Amino acid sequence: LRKNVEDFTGPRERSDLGFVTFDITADILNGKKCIFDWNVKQLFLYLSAEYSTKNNALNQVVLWDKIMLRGDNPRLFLKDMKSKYFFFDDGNGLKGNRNITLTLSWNVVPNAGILPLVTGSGHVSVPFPDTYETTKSY
Amino acid sequence: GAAAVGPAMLSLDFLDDVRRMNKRQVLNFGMIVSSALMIWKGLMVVTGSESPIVVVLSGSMEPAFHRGDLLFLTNRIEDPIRVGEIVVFRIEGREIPIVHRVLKIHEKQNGDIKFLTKGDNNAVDDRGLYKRGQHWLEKKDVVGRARGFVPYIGIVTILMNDYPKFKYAVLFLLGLFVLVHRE
Repeated sequence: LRKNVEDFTGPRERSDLGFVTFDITADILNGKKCIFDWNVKQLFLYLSAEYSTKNNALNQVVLWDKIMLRGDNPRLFLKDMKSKYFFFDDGNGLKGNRNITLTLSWNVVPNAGILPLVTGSGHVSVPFPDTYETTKSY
Repeated sequence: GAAAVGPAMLSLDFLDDVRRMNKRQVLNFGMIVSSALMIWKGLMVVTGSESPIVVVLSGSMEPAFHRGDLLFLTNRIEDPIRVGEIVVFRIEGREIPIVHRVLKIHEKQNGDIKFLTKGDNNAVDDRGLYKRGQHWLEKKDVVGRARGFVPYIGIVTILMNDYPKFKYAVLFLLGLFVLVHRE
């Protein structure tokens, strides 16, 4: 699982807004087997950023998600993706924050049964710069 | 003599049977109802949720869940709310709970948490659904977390809600079943 990112922060009203672009190379497996067994209807994949700030001990923000149906290729090879959702902090905790961890996880939706949440192995740490960008095309 | 007493005794026996049958049926029915209640209350305690089983009412979580699917919830305080989880929550002042996924969380050191939700099948997050001025959900709004599900079964509840005639038919059939079913 590999994620490469480039990033910059921009101020929006009173909260930090982060911009992250990323690549995802992933192979979703269940141990060594294919994840799509007879009782797996779909996977809900999501890339989340987790970090700590002065205001909040734990923050988690979903940056991107995708529904993978049974029959789809369980391999992901995505490049230059922009986050689907605005990466707002609850405050100004992104500026200079060196330790934002990006993780890929998925919710297994069965035809019937338990709904587990699985975290992929491999995660990437992203540092945000100390200064704001005032204008940048996005 | 014996001939005159015969039919009178027979009719008394018959009445006794009927009386006994009714008592037995009422007891049976009462036992079924109280067993069901006990199971339901037991589920509430074990899962920590006031509503351990809910029926999906809308299509906002498709293609994972459809109208009529049944969700099994837990609401244990020790389970922290994290992104990606499917939560069932109630908006203050509204009766109908909503089943959506957690999109963002901000949790303080002391455990206070505020979070944002979104339906998988919706284009935008749920801020528009919350109360006016409300930007986040809190632990108190949560009915439970979806841990498992079974498709289709809940459609009976929806049909009974949308078509009262269907509800009366089901109740009538149930009543009939109880009356007809003799131990």
